[in-house]
Amino acid sequence: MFRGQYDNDVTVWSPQGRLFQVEYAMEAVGLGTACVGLKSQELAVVVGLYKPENQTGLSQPKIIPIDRHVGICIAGITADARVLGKYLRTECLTYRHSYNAPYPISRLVWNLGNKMQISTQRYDRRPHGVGLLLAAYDKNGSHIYQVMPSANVFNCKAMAIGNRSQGAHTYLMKHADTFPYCTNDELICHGIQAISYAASIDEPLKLSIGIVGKDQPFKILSNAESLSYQRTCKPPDDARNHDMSWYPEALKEFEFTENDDAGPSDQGNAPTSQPSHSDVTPVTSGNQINDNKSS
Amino acid sequence: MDEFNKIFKSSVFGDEARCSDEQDEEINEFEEIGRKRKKKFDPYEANGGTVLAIAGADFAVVACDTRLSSGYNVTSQDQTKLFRMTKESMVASTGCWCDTLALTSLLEMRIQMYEQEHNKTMATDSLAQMISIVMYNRRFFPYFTSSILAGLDRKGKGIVYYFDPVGHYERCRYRALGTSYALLQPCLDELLGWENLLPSKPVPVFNVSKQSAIEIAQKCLEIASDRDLFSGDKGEIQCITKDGVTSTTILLRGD
Repeated sequence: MFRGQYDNDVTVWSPQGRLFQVEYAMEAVGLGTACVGLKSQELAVVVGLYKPENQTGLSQPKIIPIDRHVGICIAGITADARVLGKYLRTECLTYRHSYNAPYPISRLVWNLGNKMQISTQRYDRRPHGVGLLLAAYDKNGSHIYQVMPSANVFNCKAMAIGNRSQGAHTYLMKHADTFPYCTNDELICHGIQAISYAASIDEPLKLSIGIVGKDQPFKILSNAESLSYQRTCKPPDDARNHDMSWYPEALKEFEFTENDDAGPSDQGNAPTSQPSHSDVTPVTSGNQINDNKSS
Repeated sequence: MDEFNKIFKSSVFGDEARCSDEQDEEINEFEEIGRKRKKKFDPYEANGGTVLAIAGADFAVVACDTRLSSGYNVTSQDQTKLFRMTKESMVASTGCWCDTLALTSLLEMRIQMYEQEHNKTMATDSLAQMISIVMYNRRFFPYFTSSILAGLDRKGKGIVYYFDPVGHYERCRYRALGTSYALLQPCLDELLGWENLLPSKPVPVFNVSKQSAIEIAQKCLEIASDRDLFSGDKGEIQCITKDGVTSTTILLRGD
């Protein structure tokens, strides 16, 4: 409507009671690639989808470890996320040094929200253009928190943010009741399956997976580990086939098959196989999470 | 100031003044000392204990006793003096216990900051340099601790550094520190090859095996607990290798 008159400054209200600058900042979160967060009783998982690599470029990190019991997955302006990550790290470190205990998460995100709110009310600052999914495990159990540029902080059972995250969100909503009872491997598989809805079909799935839980300090899975999870947790075929109409016949010869070891993942053979809306196929070897390799 | 006053008075007023002042001082001397002790606050306390470390070809052994004392009282019989820093290094610290705790918790914080910023484990030689800087920053109110840093260097060889209270540090193959330093260091010299001997004896470097290093550490702790008042109770020996840290506990004299 008269948006143009009321959207120049974050300190200007519109007649309908909206702050357009803050809403525009929320749009910035939608520019970043998808992030998915979900939790069970004993584990919290965040999965970040990498943009497909250019020939020469490298991706920016999607997941930032904060402390032994917290990590974040970011969507939006990475530079803003780094600043928030630095703030969270400093807070956690000084708390741990002063009290010899991990920072309780609800207080940490509360303080983060308060800090972000300042920039939505000052004429000389702008809102942080990044959405965070915080995965944490403290004495109250596992947590997933969503933090948005509006400085709203939500405690979630599961959440997806970022570009094309609606499909992932629907998947999470469908399976949300089963998450508290999942094993660790099943939970990671759910995360991978959810985020595959946000991935484009003709690119191999490149993920960053962060886990934290009881007796599990925050850890980003190594490439080998996350690839092995991707291989065993095949996403349901309707995830990456949902829009098959435009898939050119010519590209089929470049599909990776299951026997092709050259590619980083073998997700590309979807069109020819039978659609199987299977449930999660859990990995039975339990050793993957607890090794101490850090990536 | 008293010395100055004495000299001043005698130089100005001659022998008469000195005689009378001496008499007065004899009576007041003990009172004065008592007054001084009551007023003065000593920020340091000697909490005793022994630490030692031995470096091998692919391992490092660190050992400590577990007694904390304060004067002639034992404040704890079960307090380890070893602090894990990274997955391949440990700090063993003795001296003033409050300074030990402050220093090690500060180091743990700095190590976490390093690992978050650089995405890698802090190497032992970098950690040694950092400890030196941290301690020298307090040059005029030092951390009153004698510490040892033991671990694996960048190539996987065992490495031991020792620090004085103001941060001077040196790399060595073996070292003992603490209240029984004077008893143990000559023992280690004899057993492990006379590091301090000049001209240097051609002893092959790093020829001590893991088992014998642990036995030497055990023996040294027993020696320390036998003759040193402030060491004893229990001994803890940790062996750092690239596969992890193995721990042994032994019982020492409790008197």
